[in-house]
Amino acid sequence: MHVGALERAGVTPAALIDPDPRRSALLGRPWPGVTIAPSPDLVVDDFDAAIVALPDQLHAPVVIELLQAGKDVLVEKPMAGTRAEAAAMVAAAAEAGRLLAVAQVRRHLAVKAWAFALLRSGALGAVLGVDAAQGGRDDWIATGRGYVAQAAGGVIVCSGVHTLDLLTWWFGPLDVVSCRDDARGWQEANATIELLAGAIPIHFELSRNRSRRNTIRVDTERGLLEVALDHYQPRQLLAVPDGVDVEPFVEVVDDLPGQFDRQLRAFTDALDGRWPPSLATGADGVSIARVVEDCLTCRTSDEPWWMASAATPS
Amino acid sequence: MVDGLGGNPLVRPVAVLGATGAVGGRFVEIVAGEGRSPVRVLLHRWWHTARVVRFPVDLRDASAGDADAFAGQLDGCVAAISFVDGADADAALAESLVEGCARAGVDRLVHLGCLGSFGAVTEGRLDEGSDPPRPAGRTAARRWAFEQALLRAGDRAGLPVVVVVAPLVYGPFTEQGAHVPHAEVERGRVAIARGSGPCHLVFVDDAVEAMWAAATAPGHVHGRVLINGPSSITWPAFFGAFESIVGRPGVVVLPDEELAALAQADPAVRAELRWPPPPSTGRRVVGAIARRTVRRGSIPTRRRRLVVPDADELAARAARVEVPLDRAAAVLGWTPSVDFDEGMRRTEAYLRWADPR
Repeated sequence: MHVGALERAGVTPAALIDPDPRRSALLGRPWPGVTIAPSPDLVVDDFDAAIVALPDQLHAPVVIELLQAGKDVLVEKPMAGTRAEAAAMVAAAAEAGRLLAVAQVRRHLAVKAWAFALLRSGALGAVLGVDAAQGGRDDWIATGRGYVAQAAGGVIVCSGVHTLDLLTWWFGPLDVVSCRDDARGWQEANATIELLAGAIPIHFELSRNRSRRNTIRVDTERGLLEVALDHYQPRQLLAVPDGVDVEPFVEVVDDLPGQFDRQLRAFTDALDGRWPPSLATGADGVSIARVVEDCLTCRTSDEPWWMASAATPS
Repeated sequence: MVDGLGGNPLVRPVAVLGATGAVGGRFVEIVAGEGRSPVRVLLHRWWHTARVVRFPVDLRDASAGDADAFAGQLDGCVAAISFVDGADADAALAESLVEGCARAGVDRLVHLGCLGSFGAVTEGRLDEGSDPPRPAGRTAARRWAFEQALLRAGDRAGLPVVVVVAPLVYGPFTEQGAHVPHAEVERGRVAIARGSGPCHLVFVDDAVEAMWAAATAPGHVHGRVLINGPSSITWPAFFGAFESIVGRPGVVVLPDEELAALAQADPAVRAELRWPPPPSTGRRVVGAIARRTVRRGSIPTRRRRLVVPDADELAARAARVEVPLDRAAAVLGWTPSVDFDEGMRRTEAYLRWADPR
């Protein structure tokens, strides 16, 4: 997706770096003759900024190495597996004086920036509470060896970080009140998380094998704001309080490549000294890593009713 | 001899192939969740693992599908449990799997077979002791060929192979036993032939217990074992159970000749009939208003399209066979425990949980 965004933007990458040259060659088809390298240190003088889309467990060591080499970095989410790793990445960026941004692509759904501006405008009054529900039967994010191989690669880490990031962006740092999930020794497929953003209570349900409405509902003094969490929804804006003086949101087809295009533009804007509000910072990444870690630390078992053969469903 | 007899947990792991499907996933949940045995999951594709990776299972890559790969990944396992299905399940895969089991020292291979393998038998009492004739229909014939290949390869390799022959498996997470009929009744009218035979079906937990029993039964066990639910019902009763979940009529019984003619129709026409598109937003709004103003269930069903089975499904539903459970009871010590009412109660609860509307 990142390579596609580069191609659509007319940007030729300085190098494609992957231990498997066949994979790089495949990705490099749009740019005949593009430099292909098995590791960044072999082409370190050839580029100024890097997009890091490696398996999650490699983010911290590779990003820190790049930052120390004086490169600006856009790293895929989740930024790091632990808050300690995330903090080390932010510290490395500060020490090197380089940019560290996180590729939270769902921030770049057009309605998200519109809703963010609306919430910040104060037109809706105080936020009274938030209810987010995310997931689908056979959620695609449940798949893939990379996700499964992670020690804690359940639904919270894999897809939940999208919404946790959105909540952090819109409402500020989150504190975990409770986390109930159905992991039985490994990775959770379903979780219910209660959070606080300051005084705002947030209820967040997420699932890998259960259809959820995939929206975020914000209960405000002026009424309900409901926004789609991903681009699969037929409409992005589902509810907005009546009588609010706000620039109307125009529904558009907002596919995933379009979001990656906007994300790339946001990163290049940041490189030009204009950091847009839709681009997640390294500090955001630390905040998300802390929330995930707290969820996995305080988790309590919430066994699905159908696990007990004769259970009565609730 | 398989260890762990007498209800004691197995020490050596059982290997599960096809664990990302509905029955295989439930097998892992029950066996790993109850601590009956360590579970090793052999993956062909790394999709849809969310349900099984809740447990500390040992995930192994078996995507190569050859005997060497199977032998390496099955090493140390007491039994291999196969829920393998699909286009890749052919004679070559069967032989590789059996050879891999034999080389790895696996004591027994158990495969979930399909009553459709007896599809060519349309009347009378089925008999595991005789080789079933090749059934009509591409899917049934493919499954039949895979099961035949497993049993013959087992004979050659000296490996006990048990094919647990199940009818329609219904219950939580099943496609043909829950999601598909639910969607069909919800979106259309399911056409059933007036002359349909009995609907044989088994609840998913009962199917899992039969597989476990086949893996752990004492002595030498080899060949086919038929399983079924406590009682057979009719096809209108099966689809009718989804009417009560959906809250409106969704089944229509047609004369045999009329439905047979529809089933023979051009595949594109049948597909159009079978998979009516979801209503547009405008129609959903109108429908929602109508549902508020019209008493539930009174919306004329003729406005929704017919769901027409294809010729093979029609033939399978016309079969009037008896499924004896004598061998399952005698050899495996297995009998079904979940009747249709209880099974559908759990299925309904699952559907409301999985896909709340």
